Amino acid sequence: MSQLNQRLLYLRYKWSFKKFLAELLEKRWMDAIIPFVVMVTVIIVFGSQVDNYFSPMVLSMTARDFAEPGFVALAMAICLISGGIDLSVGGIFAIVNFLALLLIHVYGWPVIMVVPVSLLIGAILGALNGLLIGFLKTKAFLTTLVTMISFRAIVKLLNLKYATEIALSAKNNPYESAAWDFLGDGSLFGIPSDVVVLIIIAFLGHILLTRSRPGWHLYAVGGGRRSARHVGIKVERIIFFVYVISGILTAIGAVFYAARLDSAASETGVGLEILVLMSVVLGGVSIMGGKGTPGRALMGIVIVMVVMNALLRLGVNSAMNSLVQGMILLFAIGVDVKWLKHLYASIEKIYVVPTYLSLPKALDPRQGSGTVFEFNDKMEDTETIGLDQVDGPEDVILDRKGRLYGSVRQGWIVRFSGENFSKREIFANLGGRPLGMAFDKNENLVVCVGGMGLYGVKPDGEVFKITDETNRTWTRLKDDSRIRLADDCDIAPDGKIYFSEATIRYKMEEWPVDGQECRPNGRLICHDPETGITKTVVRNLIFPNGVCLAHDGKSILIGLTWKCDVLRYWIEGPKKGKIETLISGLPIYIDNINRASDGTYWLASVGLRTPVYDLAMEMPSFRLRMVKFVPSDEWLYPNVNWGCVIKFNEQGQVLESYWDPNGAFSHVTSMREHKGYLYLGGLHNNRIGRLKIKGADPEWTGPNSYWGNR
Amino acid sequence: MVNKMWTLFKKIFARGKEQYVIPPLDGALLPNNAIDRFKVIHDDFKNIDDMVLDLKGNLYLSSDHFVYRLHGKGFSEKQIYVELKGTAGGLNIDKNGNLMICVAGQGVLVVNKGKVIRDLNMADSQPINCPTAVVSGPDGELFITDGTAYHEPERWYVDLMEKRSAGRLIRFNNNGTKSEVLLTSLSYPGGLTISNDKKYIIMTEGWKHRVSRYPILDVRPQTREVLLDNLPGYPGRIVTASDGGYWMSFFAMRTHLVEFVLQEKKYRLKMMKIIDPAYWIRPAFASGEDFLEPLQAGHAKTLGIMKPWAPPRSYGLIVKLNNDYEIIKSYHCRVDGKRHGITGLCDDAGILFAVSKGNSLVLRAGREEL
Repeated sequence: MSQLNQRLLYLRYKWSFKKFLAELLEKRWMDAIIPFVVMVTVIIVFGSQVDNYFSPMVLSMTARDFAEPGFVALAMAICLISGGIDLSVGGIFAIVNFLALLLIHVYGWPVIMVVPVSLLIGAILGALNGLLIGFLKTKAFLTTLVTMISFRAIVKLLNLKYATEIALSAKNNPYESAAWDFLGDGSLFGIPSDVVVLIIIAFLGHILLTRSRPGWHLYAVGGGRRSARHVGIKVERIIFFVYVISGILTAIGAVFYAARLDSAASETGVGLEILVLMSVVLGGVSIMGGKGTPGRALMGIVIVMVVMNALLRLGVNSAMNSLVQGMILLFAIGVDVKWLKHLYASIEKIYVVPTYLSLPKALDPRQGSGTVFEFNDKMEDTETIGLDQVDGPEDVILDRKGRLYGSVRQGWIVRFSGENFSKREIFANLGGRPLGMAFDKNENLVVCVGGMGLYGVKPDGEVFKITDETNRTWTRLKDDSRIRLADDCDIAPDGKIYFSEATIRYKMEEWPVDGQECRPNGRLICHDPETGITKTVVRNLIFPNGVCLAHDGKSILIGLTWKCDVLRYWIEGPKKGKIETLISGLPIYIDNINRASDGTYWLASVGLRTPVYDLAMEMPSFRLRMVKFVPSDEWLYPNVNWGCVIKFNEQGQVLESYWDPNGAFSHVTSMREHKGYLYLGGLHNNRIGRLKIKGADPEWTGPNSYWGNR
Repeated sequence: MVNKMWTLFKKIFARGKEQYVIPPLDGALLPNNAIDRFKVIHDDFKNIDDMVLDLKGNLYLSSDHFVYRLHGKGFSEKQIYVELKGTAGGLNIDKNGNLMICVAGQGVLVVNKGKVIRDLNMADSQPINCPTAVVSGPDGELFITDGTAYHEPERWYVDLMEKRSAGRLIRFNNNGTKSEVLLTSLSYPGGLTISNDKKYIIMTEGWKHRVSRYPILDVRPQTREVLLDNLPGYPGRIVTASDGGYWMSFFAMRTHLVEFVLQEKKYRLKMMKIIDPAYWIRPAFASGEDFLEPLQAGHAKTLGIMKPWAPPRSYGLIVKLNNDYEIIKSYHCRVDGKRHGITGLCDDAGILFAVSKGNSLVLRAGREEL
């Protein structure tokens, strides 16, 4: 294939709309996109149909009308999120409205007293629901249905007794209070008072729900009550408070209603529960629980109010009005349900977007090829350490005392010591998937933990977090601030920790999918322990894996696994900040890189390039279809059953290769030289290997090489 | 026409969906390690293919350019019976006890006491380049399957990856003077036998993964009766069993990846053009020895072990069919085993001999192993 052709193919697959779309859809706020679009549409459509719809005067009036059910919608939303429902909101609304008016007009209480007492009444009524549903574990639907009927009956009784009294006293001695008037029709900066309060409460509620522990507990309870209980959340208490809050929010709406209309009519709040229920569901608060935000609830109520209001003003009769409303709601709910149902499946379908990668022709590693990679038996005499005592030591390292550490799948650092490394102990339990390791100046073990970030282990085994966040790329849709797959690290003489993050698009256990994608999803990150700042220094690397500080301490070597390249990143000297390719197109897939005693470097190969895999790399659409149609267990892989260790020098020249003819140390992901021996680890191996190296310095150790003799 | 439209429709709306039809190894096909328990009687032959027992109790084995005669106690002694110009493949014995040998690129030879008495190499003015199996009918006529018109038997996988259907079933009269092509456009027919009731001829077709039978007196495409369809592997030779029923071998198994690559024309053609056939994505008689071979996710060694349920690039499988052509028992050598690519079978009064072409082993299974 011609160079131009290759270049064109590369460009064709470099940027992908599908990738953008998948990352866009993955955003949490995309859940609400359908209600948002509906809201904007109804506002535009009805706004253009009704004269003067957007004049400040009309807008302010509409807004004032909308705020009262708005509070009730918030109340309903919080109940739905908790996995319940509150049908008694209409009843509470009516009772609070009535009692507030009673206190104002008949008993002449001051506003400053009336408002808290009204809210308290709301809270008490809500608490009744909460007690029944939370602690006595009655069904929310039936319970609130019963309380709805009861509250309505109470309103009727109160009405029979006090209605005329309220009406008479309101007429005979009108209540004079600036505060009460302000609640009824005052405004702040031109915004109606109730709207201001609603926005403040919705905002606080949003923060509380999405950014606080009680909020998360609420979502957990709504999403799966049993699981929430199992993780130790106090489910009863949460549910109790949900209904109390629901009562208070409803009461706030009722007070504003009372102040605005001064009407104690018995049909106050009739049908309110249905209206708000429809609104919040329309806004995308799931009736199944665990999903939704105050913002979405308000979006729902805006849609409903706009439609109702506009139809009213267009002179549509009330029966027709209800019908049109019903139709719109039905349509929107249908779309919303389908959207939420298929959203995640769609993301999964389009998330993997393979790209074009053409690797240079590989040197032949077969026996008799005569190349430096030629298969040999140099690793035949490898001794075995800890057979079946380790599960996948991705990296191995030795300390000054000659103790051997392995990072294993269970999330442990396993330590071997004593004669022939026969004593095994669990040095530290990190969780996650510990990968690359390095010792810092103070003999702390710095560990890259897949799924967690960069952690440290003190010599006494105490674990501490170093960093799990870096600066976000603002030009990128996907939030890449969290470190997902820290892979290997090394420490510069000034103490800065350089580590690779293999990919930002996939999780630890999904790394082979990144191999199918072969996109530059990885990066090199630097953490400065002095300032505590973590910063991404090189972006867009194709699965950066091994990281090694050069012998002179002036540059960092980075191994790119799928690209089969070794890069050099300068951290000191005239080329500081520059990156250059040191070795390109190896016939092996690169894992960790480490120093050798003779001033060169060891490089572990996790697998071999195979001709069919190389060809697949040049055909992104083939790989895409394979990922889609072939079960993941049958995907084409690089040949990870054969691995080797190679040695290269400062100039990037490959000097020799070490192969294991027995295949016991297949899949080598790391190696460390220590006092004339090479220690071998592997991501899927059940052992650590130890090989005597001919001609190696028998006194050389890693810690001495980095931090000097001590 | 309708068929073509349907194919087009599937190409557009259901790309790659066809591969999901590979049935799992379940029921009578549940994997076991039975072949690993078979006894090895010879492991020093090269490129072996088939075995047959003659009327006098001699065992013949085709290996490279030779047919060997195995005799003595436990057939441990061997001698060259006949030397050939091409690679020897399928073997069988005709009604008179003569040995019939399929020779790659040469056709079928009928041999009596080491001497060639008939040389059947042409049918319908086309050479029989890929003879895969031969069987003698009740009247002494010979049925021969010609696997494909394009390749010799050693290059069977090229035929598969080219998605050919160019095999033939040929009948010769009993003195070999007259030939007749009965069926064409077969998808690599590789096994032939006469049914136990002598009324039918049974034939396996590799690339169509099926076994069919035809009335022996009336072999036409219209009289075909499919006995087994959509098998999980590529069926090869089939022989009658001494206690009724049949033995059938699968020389390789189907995998999702191979089926997928068969759908992927662009990739497949390019792979065939630029890559050494040893490293293609394709089924094979043996695998795992060369590190440039394709590897699938399931093959990755974990904790030093290759999982036996990994996708099989090569596999060993023998099945027993009853007289109703139902699979009643199966003998496996799984992915981690080393007795793959079973091509030849021979039943000696309840003792089964099998040829593992992939690992060049002659195997014997007595009653305790079966």
